Amino acid sequence: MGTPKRQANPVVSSNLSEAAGQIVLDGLDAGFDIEDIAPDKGPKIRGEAKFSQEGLDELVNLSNKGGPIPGQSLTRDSENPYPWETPPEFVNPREALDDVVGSIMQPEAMKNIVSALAQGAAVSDLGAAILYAKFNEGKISPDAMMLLAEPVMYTIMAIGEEANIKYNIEGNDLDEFDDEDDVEDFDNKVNEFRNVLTDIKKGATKNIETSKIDTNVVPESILAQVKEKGPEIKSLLSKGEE
Amino acid sequence: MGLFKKLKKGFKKIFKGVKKVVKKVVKGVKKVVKKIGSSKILKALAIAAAVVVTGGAALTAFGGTGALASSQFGTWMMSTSQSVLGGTAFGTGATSTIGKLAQGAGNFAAKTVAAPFGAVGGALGSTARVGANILTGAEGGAFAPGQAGAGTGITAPKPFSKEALSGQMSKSSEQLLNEAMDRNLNSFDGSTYKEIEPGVFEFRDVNNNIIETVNTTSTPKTGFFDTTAGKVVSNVGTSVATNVFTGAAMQAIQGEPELRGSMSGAAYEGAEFMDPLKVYAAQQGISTDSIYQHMMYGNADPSSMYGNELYRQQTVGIA
Repeated sequence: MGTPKRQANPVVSSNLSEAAGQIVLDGLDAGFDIEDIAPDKGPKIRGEAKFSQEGLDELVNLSNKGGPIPGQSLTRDSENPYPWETPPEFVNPREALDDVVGSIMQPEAMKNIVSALAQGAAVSDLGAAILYAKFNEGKISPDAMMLLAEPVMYTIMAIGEEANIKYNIEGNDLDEFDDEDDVEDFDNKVNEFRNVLTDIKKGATKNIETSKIDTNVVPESILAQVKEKGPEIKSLLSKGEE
Repeated sequence: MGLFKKLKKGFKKIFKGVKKVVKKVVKGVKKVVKKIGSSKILKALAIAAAVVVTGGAALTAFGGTGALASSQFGTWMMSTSQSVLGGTAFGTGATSTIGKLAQGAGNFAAKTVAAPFGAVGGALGSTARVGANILTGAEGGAFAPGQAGAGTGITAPKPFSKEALSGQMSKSSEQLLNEAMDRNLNSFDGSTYKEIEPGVFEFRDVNNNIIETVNTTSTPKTGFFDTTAGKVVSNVGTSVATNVFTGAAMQAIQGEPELRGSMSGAAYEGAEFMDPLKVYAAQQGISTDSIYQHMMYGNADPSSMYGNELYRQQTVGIA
């Protein structure tokens, strides 16, 4: 286990991902090991999204019901507005975040979140559903809803990590990060191979001293040809003279 | 296009954007620390971000049962706030009567606030445990406690129990004794301890003076969760603990009239906390007068560590 050599550096950012990234890098720089920050808890439960005919039927039924008639909202009694038509309960996004995170951390809510993540629901869909519900209840404004997308996503992701679930972030992207790692590894290996090949080529053509070549290995007639052509020896596959 | 459709479309774009940013940050971290898998970095980011978003409450959850259980990282990353979480934010050197009063009240508030704040995190750990139990079909059912760490004698607490909500582990008596021995290593020669009652051990130094009495039968860490307010938290779950059980509300529940008007949470903002904020605000063109209207994150932004208490605090009521 790594021991920190120093105190944490102050981090302030308007972007949560960036702040978290800086804190993680700072931690690694201070002497922590990645295992200290994100300990391995054994194989993860794969939250794979599975096709459900029942779910699809329900969706089709819902969409077949159609939408509201244009202007329908204007026919409502203005004395009894919907909650989202009234000023939001939380004007300050910080207060709104407290309320949303407080709701997410309700034991029942978290059981459902863990279960949903394990069954393949994406973090973004869950986050959207939670924030949209808060907007519908008249708790937050659409602006706050947008501002809270990132912290809510991270809170759900942390719940997923805590429950040791491999979750989808958006859509069905369970293995996206791993696949990218594989592609990157492959590219790195190809680059490494290319570099080695270039080095070999350079090394092989640079320092050939024909006087030192053993005539028992390379016949004299060939050596003479090499001497005659000098550095202009062309590959068999190179473009010939026209 | 109606308002709702527009909202949904905009929302989708935002989430896509967030995913892109997450990917970018993962790549950025990967460039610096090579040979670490992206999912590992994502996990580290999620943990760090959750600690920032919950103002450190996630620490208790992770510290009790989960990912940060055996590490110092969480505490370290919030070390800029440790003075407050430890209840010493208001200092110890006040000499005037008013200063002492404010100092005592402030420290008390900071401590009591820290306990229910941790309860939020405890619930997080509990739920994750329940979820894992459901999914893995754990022996003992959904509410079975987590498994003991190899060779530690420590078990994860039973979900939603007092230990889980206070974010601490259930320890065996052997573990408690070992810890006491470690604590008193310099003054205790290894043999001068005796069981004075069943489960109660007394540690003595070479002069036969009592150094420590360890009760291995008592429930660990009694305190907040034994109070009326604590029971409310335990029973009701964690209903918006950050809002309800802090500051003035906490005082009202506990019926401590002398605490009225005390500052709560991180009301103290010393220069060391404000400087990074001021620099950041100047760079971003944010007026410091309205700084708490802006969403900011990090261990140097007091309001993201302590929620709304900074602008919800009561004024000091001095007659």
